Amino acid sequence: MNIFKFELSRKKASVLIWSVGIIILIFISIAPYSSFAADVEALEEIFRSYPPELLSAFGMNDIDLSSIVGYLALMYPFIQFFLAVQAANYGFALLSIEEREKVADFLLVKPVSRTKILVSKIFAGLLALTASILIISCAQYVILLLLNGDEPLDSEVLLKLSVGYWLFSLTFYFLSIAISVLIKKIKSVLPFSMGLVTITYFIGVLADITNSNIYNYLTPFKCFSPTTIIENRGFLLENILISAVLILGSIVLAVIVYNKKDIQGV
Amino acid sequence: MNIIEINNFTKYYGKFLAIDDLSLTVKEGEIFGFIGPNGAGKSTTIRAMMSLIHATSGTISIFGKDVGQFGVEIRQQVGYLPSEVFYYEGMKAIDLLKYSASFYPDYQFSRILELAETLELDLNRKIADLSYGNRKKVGIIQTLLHQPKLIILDEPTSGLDPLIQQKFLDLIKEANKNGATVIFSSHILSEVQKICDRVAIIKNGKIIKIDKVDNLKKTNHKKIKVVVENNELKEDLLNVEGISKLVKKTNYVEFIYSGDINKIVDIIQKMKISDLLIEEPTLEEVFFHYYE
Repeated sequence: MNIFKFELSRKKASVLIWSVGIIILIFISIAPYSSFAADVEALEEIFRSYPPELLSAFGMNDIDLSSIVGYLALMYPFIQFFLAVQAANYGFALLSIEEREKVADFLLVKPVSRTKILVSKIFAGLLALTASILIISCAQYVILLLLNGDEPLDSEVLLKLSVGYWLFSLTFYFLSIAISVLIKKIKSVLPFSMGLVTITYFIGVLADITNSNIYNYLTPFKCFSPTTIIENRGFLLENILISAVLILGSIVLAVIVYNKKDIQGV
Repeated sequence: MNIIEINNFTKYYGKFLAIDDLSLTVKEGEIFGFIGPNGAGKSTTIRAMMSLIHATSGTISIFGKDVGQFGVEIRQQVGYLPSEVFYYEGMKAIDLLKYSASFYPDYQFSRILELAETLELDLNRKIADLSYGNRKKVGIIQTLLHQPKLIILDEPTSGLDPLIQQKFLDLIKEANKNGATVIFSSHILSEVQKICDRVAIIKNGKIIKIDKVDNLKKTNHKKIKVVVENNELKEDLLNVEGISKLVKKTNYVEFIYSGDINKIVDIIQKMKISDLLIEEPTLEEVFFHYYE
């Protein structure tokens, strides 16, 4: 429990900063909606004049702009991008921090197994990430409520979009943990998290342009795309399964590799 | 009873052979020195004892238990001070020590305060703001706070001023008197001489000699440099027993001397010198016959 508490308390500031940052991002993205809500028809007319490939590239196909939730869906991938960076940051930093800050000789010589260290840290990161998503989702709901005026909000879909944020973040979090144990030394976390998120993001863009299903299996951006969630009013079982397999595989890999890893001196 | 038993421990890093078939035993209550130049394999061996790295082949057991299998149980009774001490920055020393202590169920908080007082460390300062030596003190406290049965020190005195060094050595001696076994790694011979019962000399991942310190002390080596005015060098005077590794230049001589210090002072007195340096030789210089 001591490792869990320690790790969690070290994440407090980060959770707050990321949450506030992403809430501001959401507000800035959604705020313009009220100003052209009245002219949705005109806006859709403009979109129709664009080549469909361009719209696909920005995930603007099949998006219904007549409601604020539809407009949120338009912005969803950008919000996801930052959520993914946060999750990947947590994942890459989780185990590499000891080696980077040279404190492995402190923690790993204590009378605890590496598996216990790993599990405690994973749970601490998981809770921090979940707290962050919870704060962001509540704030998002309030923002939409304020901007939407008297129109009714589709709360069910909003809730599912938030669950989508969560599952999406977890996938990145665990994927990053698994990648981090395979890398000999992570000197700085950000290049790795930005790299992973950017690559998977563009695989998602590629998927939209080519309309090929195969990419759906290659990037969490497609597994938890807003159009899928809104169309199905929920998640596709196969997408949940892909995520679950990725997460479980990452955990197993991390436990095995971390236990066998030689921790180098300074 | 053997506290540590290492049998045929070998460690490869890729193709690089770091430790080559190393075997040794350390008995209960000993202060065992581990000496050798940097990169000889001292830290590698210690890190394997702490299960930070895994042996390629061979076995290491502490308290009669295999470190791979029973590492958690073993580490409950071990205090380890790494050669370089870094901690989660942004933390106060006291918070880090409390976190460290939380891993050992029956420690006493008063012990932390007691050690901090002995070592003259202000526990309320942030670790990031501490000097290298003061950070080392934090390390020493977290090594000793749970009164371990085995204390493993990897180059512990670097960064400490002489006064604190002495206090630290006293602390170790006291712990040893209370039953703790100590492993003390260093590349400074005089330090090892001061405290250890037995030493292992290690080079290129192999133990080249294990001996009692008393035996090593008999070889009382000094490194001497005599600087003279132009052409005042009387080399023939230096044809005495106990001089080795003699280097002659136009205006100075440098050599390792082992024997009665009065004899060599008498000889030097006969020359007109402009400067004289007598210092502790490095390990390599003393044990050059092992290192060649």
